[in-house]
Amino acid sequence: MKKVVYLAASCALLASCASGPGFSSPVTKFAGVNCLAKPDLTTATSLEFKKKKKFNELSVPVVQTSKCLSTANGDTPFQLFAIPGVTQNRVFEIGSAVEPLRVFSPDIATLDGNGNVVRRFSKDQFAFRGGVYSVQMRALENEKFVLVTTAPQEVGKFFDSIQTSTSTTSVYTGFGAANWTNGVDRNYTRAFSYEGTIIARVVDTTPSTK
Amino acid sequence: MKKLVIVAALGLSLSGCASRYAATPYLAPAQPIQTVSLAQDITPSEASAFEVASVGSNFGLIGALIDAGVQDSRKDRVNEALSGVKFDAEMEMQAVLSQALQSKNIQVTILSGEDRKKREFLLKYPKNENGQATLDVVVLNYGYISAGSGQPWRPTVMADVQLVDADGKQILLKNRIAYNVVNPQQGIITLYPDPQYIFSGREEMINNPEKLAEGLRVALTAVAVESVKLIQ
Repeated sequence: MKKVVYLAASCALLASCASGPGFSSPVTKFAGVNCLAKPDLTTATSLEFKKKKKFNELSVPVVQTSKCLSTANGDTPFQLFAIPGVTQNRVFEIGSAVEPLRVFSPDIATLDGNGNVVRRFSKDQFAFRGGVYSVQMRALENEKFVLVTTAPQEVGKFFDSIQTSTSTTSVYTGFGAANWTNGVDRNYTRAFSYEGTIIARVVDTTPSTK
Repeated sequence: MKKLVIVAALGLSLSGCASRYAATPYLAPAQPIQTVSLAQDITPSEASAFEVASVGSNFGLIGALIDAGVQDSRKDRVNEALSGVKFDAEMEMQAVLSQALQSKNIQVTILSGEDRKKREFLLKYPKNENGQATLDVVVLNYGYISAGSGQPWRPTVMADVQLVDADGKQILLKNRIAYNVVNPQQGIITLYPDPQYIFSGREEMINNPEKLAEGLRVALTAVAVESVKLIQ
C-alpha cells in the first residue's frame, strides 16, 4: 500500500516539471558567413560561473548566423568554451539539447592553450542523458578549451526513440481540487541538425562538508 | 524486496525534476586496464512488473490498497512466467558483462563474496589480486514497466556502475544507466527501449514467456554494453 501512496505523491509532484523547447525542424544545410580558419581563443565563453552551485548550465542556440569555422569537413557553426583554471572536482558535460524533432549534431574536441586538439570524442562516447545528447569528461591538465562544431556525417540522419513519462492534470470537483496522473508512451522521430541548442553543464563534485 | 520496489518506483517517478545525477567520468590511467574483476550479485532476485500511473493510484487510500494487490499479483505471475523458461538475470548479466569486457580485450574474473545487503555498491572492496580494477554493476531494478493505465508494457532496467582501482580505494568511474525509465533523471544515461518487446498487458506477458525473457535479455545486454563503454 505504501508503495502506491508514495507513487501517487511523487506523480503529483511531477506536475510542475513539464517544459521543453519548441517544435523546430531539423536543418540539413549551413551557409556560413565570414568563416574563421581557426577559433579565436580570446573570445571563448567561460565555464566558470559566478554563482557557486553544484550544477551550472549554459545553453547556446545554434542558427545560420552563428559563428562559423572552416574545417576539413566544410563550414560549420561552432562554440568555444574556456575550461576554468581549477578543474579538480569538476565534471563537464557538453552536448546538445534533445528537441522534439531535432538534435544539433555535435562534434566535440578539447584544445590546449595554443588551440591544438588534445582529444576528440568519438561517436560511441556520446550518450543520451535525459534531455541532452552529450559527452561527460574530467579535464586533463593541458586541456584549456572545449570546441563544439558539427559532425556533418550525422546531419540529416533520423532516429526513433520511445520515451515514457507521466503527466498530471488538476481537476476541480465539488469537494475541492484533485490531481489525475496519466502515463505517456510516445515514439519520437528526430534528426540530427545543423541548428539546435548547444548545452554545457558543469557539476561541482566537491564532497559536502555538512 | 517490496521496500526496493517502493524506493525504485519513487525514484523513477520523481527523477524528472527533483535532482540531477552527478557522475564521475572515466579518466584513462597511464597503464590501460587489461584485467578486471567483476563483483557478483548484480541483479535483484526478482523482476518487477509495475504500472506507474495506474487507475488505483489516482483514487486515494482505498485505490492505493486495491492497486497494491493488483501490482503484487502481476509481479508474481510475471516472475512465475520467467521461472518457467528458466530465465536467470544474474547469470545473463555476468555473461554479457564478461563478453562486453572481453570484446575490449579486458580479461575478466568474478569477485567472490557475500550477496549485497542492499541494492547499492559494495561498502568495502577487497584488495584485488586478480585484476587492475573491480567493476561493480548494481542493477537497482529490472523487469517490465507501463507508464500508466492503457499504456504498453516494455522492459526496464536501472543500474549503477562503478569502477574502482585494485586497492578498492579510488573511484575510476561512476555512472547510472536507465533503460526505458519513466521520467528519467537529468544526468543519467538513458537508453531507449527496443520497440520489438512490447506487451498490451499482464495476460499477453505471462502467455509469452519466451518473448518476455528475451525482452529482458535485450535490455540487460544494452545496459551491460553501455557500462563497459564507459571504460574509455
